[in-house]
Amino acid sequence: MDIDIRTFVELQGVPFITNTVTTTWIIMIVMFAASMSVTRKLNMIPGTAQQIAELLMEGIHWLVDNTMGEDKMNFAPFILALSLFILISNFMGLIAVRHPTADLNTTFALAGITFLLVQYHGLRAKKLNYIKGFFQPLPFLFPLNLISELALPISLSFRLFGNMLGSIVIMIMMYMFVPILVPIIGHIYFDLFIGLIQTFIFVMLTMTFITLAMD
Amino acid sequence: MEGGVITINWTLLWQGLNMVIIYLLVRRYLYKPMANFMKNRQDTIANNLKTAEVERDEAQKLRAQYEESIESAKQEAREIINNARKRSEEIISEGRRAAQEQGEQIIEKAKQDLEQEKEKVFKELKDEIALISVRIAERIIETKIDVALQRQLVDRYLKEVKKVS
Repeated sequence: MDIDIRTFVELQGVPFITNTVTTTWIIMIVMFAASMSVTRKLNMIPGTAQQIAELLMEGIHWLVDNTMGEDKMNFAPFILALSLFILISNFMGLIAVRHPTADLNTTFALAGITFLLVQYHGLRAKKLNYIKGFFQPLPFLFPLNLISELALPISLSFRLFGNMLGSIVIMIMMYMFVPILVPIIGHIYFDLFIGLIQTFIFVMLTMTFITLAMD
Repeated sequence: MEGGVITINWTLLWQGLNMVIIYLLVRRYLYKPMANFMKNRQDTIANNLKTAEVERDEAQKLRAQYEESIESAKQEAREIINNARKRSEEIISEGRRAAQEQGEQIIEKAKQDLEQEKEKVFKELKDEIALISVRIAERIIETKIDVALQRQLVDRYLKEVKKVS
């Protein structure tokens, strides 16, 4: 693993295709293949793969139901896609592949999508009241409200990015100083535990912000 | 190695596009089939449970019916046996009474017969006595007899009559 991002294709001196993008493509292919193999033959008595998929579905439904409410269950597929992608990306460190989430572009793209969703659904649910909300409780507080709104995608993206980049840095240092056995503990903590926690935080905040904007 | 780690470049657009594609793929190939399947299975199980409950109720009703009919059949059987027993007792007692009556009749008839026979015998005896008396008279007339002899004869015949009766 490397702290720096490797560029494969450049476009006018700017990185066009990096290992972040290629890893994401591989993750997409794996996710697609896994989804297909699970859903191709679903049985009334589920096998191991189907059980895991059902557990995942139940978990996501439970999470969306409890965080967003039953009326917002149509967000479940997005939440499922988001959590799966971030989780698999965060676990990439386990097979010595640089996490796509340790690239600000990835986390910013995800947070940007969340931000757009928040604004879109807020506007759709509250119409003009949503814009009025930016001038409350007092109109001159509008700049502060705007900054707090814009802080959302920034804090969301930098939190995930920082955590995963931090994991990489610490793991590289661990391999430098104690290359045998000890990095296993590091992988368990920084890749599995932090990866899981950060996924959960990202997804929970996404759900909370969308719900706050809508209700 | 260009630009360090914290730079925004084309990757941002790629990753945005990738996330949209991931969302579409997950929704189309994982979420929808799984959600549909799980909903269907839930419905199937709920239906099966409901059907099972209905069938169980029906079975219980049927069982109650059967038990009732078995009970009534047993009752009927008991009645039939009781009736038969009563009837047989009646038949026996009737037979006994009839036999007794018949026996009594036979005895009565035998008594009557005996009586008739006795009377007949008496009648015959009287005739005989009359005949004997006539013979005695004839004999008295044939032979000259004195009073003493006559008395002696009468006694002797009276004795004979007594012996006969």
